[in-house]
Amino acid sequence: MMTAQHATEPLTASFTAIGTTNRILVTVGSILPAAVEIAKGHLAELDKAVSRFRDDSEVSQLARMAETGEAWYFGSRLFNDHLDAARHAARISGGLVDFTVGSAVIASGYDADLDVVRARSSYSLPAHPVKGPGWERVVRGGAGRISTPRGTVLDFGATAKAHAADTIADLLSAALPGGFLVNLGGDIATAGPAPDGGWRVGIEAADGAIRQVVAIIEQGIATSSTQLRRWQTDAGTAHHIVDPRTGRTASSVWAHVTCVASSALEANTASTASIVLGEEAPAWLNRNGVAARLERPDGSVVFTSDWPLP
Amino acid sequence: MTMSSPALSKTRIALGMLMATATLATTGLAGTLALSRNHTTNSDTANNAAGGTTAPASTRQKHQKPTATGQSFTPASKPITTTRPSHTKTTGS
Repeated sequence: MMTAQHATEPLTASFTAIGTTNRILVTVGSILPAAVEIAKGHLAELDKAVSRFRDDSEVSQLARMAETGEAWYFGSRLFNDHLDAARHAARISGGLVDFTVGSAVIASGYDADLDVVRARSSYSLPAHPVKGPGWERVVRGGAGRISTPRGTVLDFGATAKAHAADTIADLLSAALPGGFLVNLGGDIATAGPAPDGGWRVGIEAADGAIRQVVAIIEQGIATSSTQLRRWQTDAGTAHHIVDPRTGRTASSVWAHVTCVASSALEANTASTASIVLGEEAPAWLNRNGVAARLERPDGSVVFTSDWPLP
Repeated sequence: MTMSSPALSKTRIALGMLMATATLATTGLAGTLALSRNHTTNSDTANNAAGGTTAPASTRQKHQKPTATGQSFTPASKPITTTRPSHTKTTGS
């Protein structure tokens, strides 16, 4: 009879998918290949459902249907699951994380893979900001039916990786022995028994330096940054986080915001909302009981009350 | 030219039902998992002096995906600072 052997330190494997580097950590080394295959399979399905950069994705199909009027669509189970996750993020953030900003993100210049966007010498912003219709105007009906107002482009960029990390961590925990950490491009979920002392996660800045290491157990952690996905426009440097209240690129009060929450989805919701809020973010995070580390472009740092001081 | 017969049709129907059942079972598992994420706060801590880490003594937390009716963040344990090397890193997206 085979018994699962727990490694003293987790074993890890990395692979590229959904346009980013992903990492799976396991406490039982023998199941690492199976864990990676499960993760890859899920991400392949995810890409077909919610990628904004694939013409055949459900998000792209729905956007085309909405070009001429209100669109009705029956989403796949995975699409609707991510829509529900995005609605949850919008709700708990008070609309600061809004999945209907797709047209605003495109208008700001992020209309293709980032390598293509960055290769442009500049980009002309529209004279007037393009605002989405607002997440509450996307109606989720029965039997997977969705309706969106005319011109709506959904963008699950703020939630898809994080929610997929949560889902994969739970899938792995249900199917395989041991504990798991799933890191999808910096959005991290955990499930099952952790290594001694917890899963240790380094907070990395844009220069590659690890600012602090924290340990988490059955929590999610995520970082949002204004320093990484950037490109040039005729009005200056833009980044990928749009303020849904204005339709413009959010201010760069913070270089990076790292949050720990009950799931990767809620952690990334908090970190994205913090970028949008700017100076109001620490008070908002404290009110919501979210442990967070906020770093300004000059390197100075603000912690919320639940964050462990280095 | 496509050949067909009652026996072949029955076989196809049976195969189709089998595949549909398998699909439902798979999606049902995924759905059950997606809906099973729940978190309870556990602030019990114990000091792991050897590793320089202060970690929750009782680590098990029930998972539940945030529900559509939730209006606020789910309470979560605090992260723990440590001096040991990281297993992985969060880089910002």
